[in-house]
Amino acid sequence: VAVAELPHGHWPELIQILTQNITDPSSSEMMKESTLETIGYICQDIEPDVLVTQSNDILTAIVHGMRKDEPSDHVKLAATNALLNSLEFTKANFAKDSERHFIMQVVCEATQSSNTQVRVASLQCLVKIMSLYYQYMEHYMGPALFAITIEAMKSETDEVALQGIEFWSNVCDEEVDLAIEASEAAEQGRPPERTSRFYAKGALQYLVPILMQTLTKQDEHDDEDDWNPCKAAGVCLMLMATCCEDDIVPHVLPFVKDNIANPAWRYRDAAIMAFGCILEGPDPSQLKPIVEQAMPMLIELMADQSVVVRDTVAWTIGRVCELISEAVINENYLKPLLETLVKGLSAEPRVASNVCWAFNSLAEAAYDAAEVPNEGAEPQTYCLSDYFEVIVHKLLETTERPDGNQANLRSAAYEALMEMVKNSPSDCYMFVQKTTMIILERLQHVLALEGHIQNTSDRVQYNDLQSLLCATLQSVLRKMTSEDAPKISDAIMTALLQMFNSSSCKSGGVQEDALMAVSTLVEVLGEQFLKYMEAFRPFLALGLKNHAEYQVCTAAVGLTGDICRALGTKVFPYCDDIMTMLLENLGNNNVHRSVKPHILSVFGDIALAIGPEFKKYLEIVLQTLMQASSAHIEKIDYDMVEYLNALREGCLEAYTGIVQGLKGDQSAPSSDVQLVLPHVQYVVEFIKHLAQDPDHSDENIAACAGLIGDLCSAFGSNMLPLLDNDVISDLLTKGRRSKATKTKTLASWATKEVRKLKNVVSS
Amino acid sequence: RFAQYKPKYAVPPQEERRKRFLEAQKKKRYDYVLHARKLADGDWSECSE
Repeated sequence: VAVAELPHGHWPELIQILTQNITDPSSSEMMKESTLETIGYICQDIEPDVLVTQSNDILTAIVHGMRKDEPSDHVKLAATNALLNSLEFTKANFAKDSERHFIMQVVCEATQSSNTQVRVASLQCLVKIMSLYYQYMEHYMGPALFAITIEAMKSETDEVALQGIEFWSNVCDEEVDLAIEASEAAEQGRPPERTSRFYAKGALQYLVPILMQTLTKQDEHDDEDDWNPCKAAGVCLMLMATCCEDDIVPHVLPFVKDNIANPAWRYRDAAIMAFGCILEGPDPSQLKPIVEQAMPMLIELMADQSVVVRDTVAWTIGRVCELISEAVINENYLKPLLETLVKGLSAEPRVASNVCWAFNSLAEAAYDAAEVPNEGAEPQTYCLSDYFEVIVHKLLETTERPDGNQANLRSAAYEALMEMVKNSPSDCYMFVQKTTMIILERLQHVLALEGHIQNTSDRVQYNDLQSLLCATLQSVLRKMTSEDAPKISDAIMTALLQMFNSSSCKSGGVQEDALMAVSTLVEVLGEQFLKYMEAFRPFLALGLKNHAEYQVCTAAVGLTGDICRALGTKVFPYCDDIMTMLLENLGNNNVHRSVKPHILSVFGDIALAIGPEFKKYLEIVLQTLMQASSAHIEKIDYDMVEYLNALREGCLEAYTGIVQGLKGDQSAPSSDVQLVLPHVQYVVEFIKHLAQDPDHSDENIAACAGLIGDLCSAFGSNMLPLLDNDVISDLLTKGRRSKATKTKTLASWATKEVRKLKNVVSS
Repeated sequence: RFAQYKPKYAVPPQEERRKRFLEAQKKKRYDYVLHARKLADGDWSECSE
């Protein structure tokens, strides 16, 4: 009730009644406990702003319940939990030295309670205080927090140890953020707002041995859903490595060397885990020789007798492939590694799933390392060419394992297959063709099974499989040559249409992946997609009308743009329907906002595709763009800034498409473009408004520059009075100085177009 | 924290596919417009600063 009433200013006396209950010496233990629980629940669920003005009273009451001489552990626990929930609105209290000292003293004392629950709750408070009030912690770190948390990490009680570890994980998170802030500030030539105290780095020598010891406390029959200190220590060590970079290596390596061949599996596993954890953070060039040295051992350990060890080794090899791939893509290790990995695909699902992930990274790294005739071209061959057929064959086999639903194995195998295909050179094309046929057959087979689904769990697996097959289809189609694509497109489109028609497409995931598969087909077929349009249009409409699942709607909107680009003027007969649905979506509050910028961009795609025929939609679209571009959106957080920028980019892309489309492709602009002239002044005002917004994105500048160039080429010297000013000129200068090639290119082009107009006028 | 234990894909694969799909679409749009502006490849060489 309080959460409902307090934000509206009702029940103003409530907090006072509650706090009095706690401080009143005549209150019973039960009264104090339940009142503190009530405060805790209110603090947990209410918007923090609502209680800011009463934070003093609330804190006083809570601290009263937590104090050392409070006899009841029940009261203490309720008070500590309430404090945990109130920390977010007590900023003002933490800013005052005396109040903060008092709160910290009470919390630190509570960590020494003989009651485990109170200890855990007070440690949770410290964890949260550390992330919320890092800047105030210097005073307490050395004298108290360090010792308290180290002691907690060593505790035999899992819940206590978990909080001790979590404290340091939080310190690392915080210090990584501070390092990013510091480098951003340095880049912009200003001091950072907050600075790191490098607690993690300073504590490395004490923390790392405890964490490594904790890594040896694995559960033999571990349930993958369980959380325990051993797993938490793994995460903490990874965060320490990211935070402390090179400094962590000497603290970890001796343990790895001493234990990697330990007869006790727990120590072998801990050694490999520690090694895997520090692969990200330290300089890869420093790690490379160490990894090279470890590779033979890791390959050997893939056959370890313990499944826990095999799982950790497979994960570590996966990380090596992802992070330090140069250490394995070489003559010494590649062949034995691939042999081990292929074998590993037959191991337990959790091991095989890690192996799939390793193939994922390996495929990308091998492709990037291949020689290419010129940048962006497909390489003729690469270091996996000789093994490609075997790997792909084995991955396809893995996707069909009856235990593939465990440890995400089936998805992982399909994902690896997709990456292998995506990153394949020309000399593997034959195997890509074969894979395409297999995927198509599987799709047809799966569709025939639709009627046999018995229960929800079957349905979920069936839908996942369809999504994965559609996604794999995208990656093989993208590789198809333009000669081969039309040969199989009928079969593919038939299967996809059948899928759209079946009840699987009631699942958003399947519908989305199927739409993306159609998009790839459109891309490879170009104008030849026209023959499928009649059959496909109802399903495009279904996608565009799927307001409930915005990702489906986004995919359908994007696909509409692709179809426009592929069909050009031939899309015109479909435009009335499409425009109606797009405009309806824009005005519909039930359509997720993230879809709307894409719709605006697609207006541009349509205009560019149908050229002069767009005139029939011009007035309504220009009106819509005016509304969208002047929409008042409060930039309450980064998401909203991003959204506003996306919306504006959509408007700019729409204007560009309209101007270019109506201008035509002849050297002299078509007279149709004059229809836009009455709106041009507004468009330039919009560009200027955007230019002066400090939060605009680089992409916004690029789109503005493009549109400025388009306006110049469409309207010639008429534009000069509108464009020859400091705001536009500063915007173009900023664009030319951008790091992004696209922005630079467009800003330079626009500058030149403006200059051309000036030259014409002055001559 | 649970998701940070023995993590594999930096971004969930489906999300990654979605992201790549949208990026590819953006690039196709850009290339298409660039073509309409006759800036593609050769035509652009004379425009460098």
